[in-house]
Amino acid sequence: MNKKISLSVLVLLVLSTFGGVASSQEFGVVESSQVIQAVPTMESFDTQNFTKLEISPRYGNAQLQPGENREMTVTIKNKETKSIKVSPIVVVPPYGEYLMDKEWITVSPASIEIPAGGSQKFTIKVVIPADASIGYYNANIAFTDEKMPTPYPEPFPNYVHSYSLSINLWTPPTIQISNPYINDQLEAGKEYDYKIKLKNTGDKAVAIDPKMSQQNQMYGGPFGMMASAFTDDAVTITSPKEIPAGGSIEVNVHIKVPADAKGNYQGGIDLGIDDPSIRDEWADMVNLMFGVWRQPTEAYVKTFNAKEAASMTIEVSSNLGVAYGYYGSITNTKNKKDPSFAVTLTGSGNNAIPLTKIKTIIKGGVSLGGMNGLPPWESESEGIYQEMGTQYIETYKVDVPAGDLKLGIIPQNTQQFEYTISMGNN
Amino acid sequence: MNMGTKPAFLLILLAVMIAGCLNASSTKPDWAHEVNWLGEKPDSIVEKELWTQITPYRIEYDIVNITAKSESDGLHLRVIGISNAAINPDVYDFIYSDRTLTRTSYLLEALQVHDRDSAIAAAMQKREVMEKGVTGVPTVRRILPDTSKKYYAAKTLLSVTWTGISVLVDPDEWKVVQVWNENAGVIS
Repeated sequence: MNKKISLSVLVLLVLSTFGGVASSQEFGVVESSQVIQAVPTMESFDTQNFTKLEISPRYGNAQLQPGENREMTVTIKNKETKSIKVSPIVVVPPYGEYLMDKEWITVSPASIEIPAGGSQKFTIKVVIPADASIGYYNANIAFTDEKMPTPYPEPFPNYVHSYSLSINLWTPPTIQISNPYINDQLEAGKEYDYKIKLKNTGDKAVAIDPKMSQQNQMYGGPFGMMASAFTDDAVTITSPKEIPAGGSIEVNVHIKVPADAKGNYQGGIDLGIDDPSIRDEWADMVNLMFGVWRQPTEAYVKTFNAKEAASMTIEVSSNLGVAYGYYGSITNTKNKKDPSFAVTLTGSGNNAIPLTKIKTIIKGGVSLGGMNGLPPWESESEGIYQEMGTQYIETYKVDVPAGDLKLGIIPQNTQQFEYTISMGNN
Repeated sequence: MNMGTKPAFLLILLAVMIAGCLNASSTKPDWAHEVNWLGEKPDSIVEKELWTQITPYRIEYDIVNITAKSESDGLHLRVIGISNAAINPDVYDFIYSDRTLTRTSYLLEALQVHDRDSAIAAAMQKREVMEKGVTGVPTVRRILPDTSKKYYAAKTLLSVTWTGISVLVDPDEWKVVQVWNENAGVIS
């Protein structure tokens, strides 16, 4: 009996132990659920009673060189009905490529009581040490310790009353690059030469090693990624190995466009300049952007019939090239040429009928700006004339016999053209 | 001319030259070298106010042409700033009414070749521009801080635009801060 009782007590004890564990686990879930309920909702954010301080401006930026300093002023207006103590602190976000040293910034006054409705100017002085590394730095000046509530813990608090400061720490580049890009229209099968001038303003020779970059090889078209018009093999770079102190050199770029090239080419020349002021791989890159154009050698032929001998006017026009486009535009590409046409007319038996060019018209398209095909930040240009492109129109006059006729047109320096054949008296 | 009149003549000449300098410096800023008023010339207060709302960017205006014309809603002014160092001019439109000068439009393309080239180079490194496969030379326009603040920050930015795509470049860092595509709108 005692044994039975002892066994029963033992079983009950074991069961109660499991029960206790289960109960603890259940309690743990309840606790977890209580934590979730404690998370503030967005609704509760609205009811937060932040101190009403106007901070003007809210951000500032400065471009400084090592050893330089700059002062900025921030005005804080107390919109509360009681005085507020403001004690600014410098907060540096613990991320970013470069971390600002708090010692670089001093804010004065360090602490002050702003009366109700009163304003106070704070001076933020930034002093950059002479040995600071060039780069982009950020810091916040928090005027109070009030933080923006977030539903989840944030690694870095967002201060409510803060001034955001950005510093671009730079040194003037020792090497000046005359043209950071080459953008042109090329004709298939032809060769082109370009020069990139480099000037060394320093007192030491600087080594360079120009070569085609592998960083800039993307090329997209209207239907997604496309093959480039030609490969880097078509580009030959010749250059001295260094730029003497105070001197200038030229990097020569020769492009031999393959005869079968078509489309666009996008690439880059990494000048390989050994200059510590160049802080990223793009800074000594010369971008190459070419559209490849092939001049047609065979005429477009339109066959038509003149029912009777008549006086005829033929009008041929280039497309209204947009300001940013190909030939016939107002762009200033190096190899830009005005469009023109070689026009022929043949009658029966392929007899050439001489045409007389009676006029050439240059026709322009002008926009009044605004949002019409422009980005929203250029909408302020509304009301100011902007030339959108130019069209070249040639008019020929000829007397034709009745019968089949062939109009031949070879366009020069335009990728689209239109023609109009008018028969009879105009 | 005898010895007595010569110093007096020189003094008068000097006074006229000084007066000319004072007059010039009191109206136009140093960065505007030649100012031409075309059409109506309003009260000098308008010109003074104009100089507070016009600023060339890293450049000086060799010629500033100001055209003024009275309309029903006020005096319309067009200011064209031309610099020998830039390909294109800066153009501003204003209305002066109720003693207030309001800028109504601007198209600012007077940029140094270096700034223009650097903006294009920065734009060409943007993935969206590369993928668009843009060709030809874009327009490069200065965007004033009161416009820029809607898209990035209240500072001068440069807008580089090809057909159908445009990027806003921060010239302090030569970095792209916004991209606009005619199909997708502002996409970053």
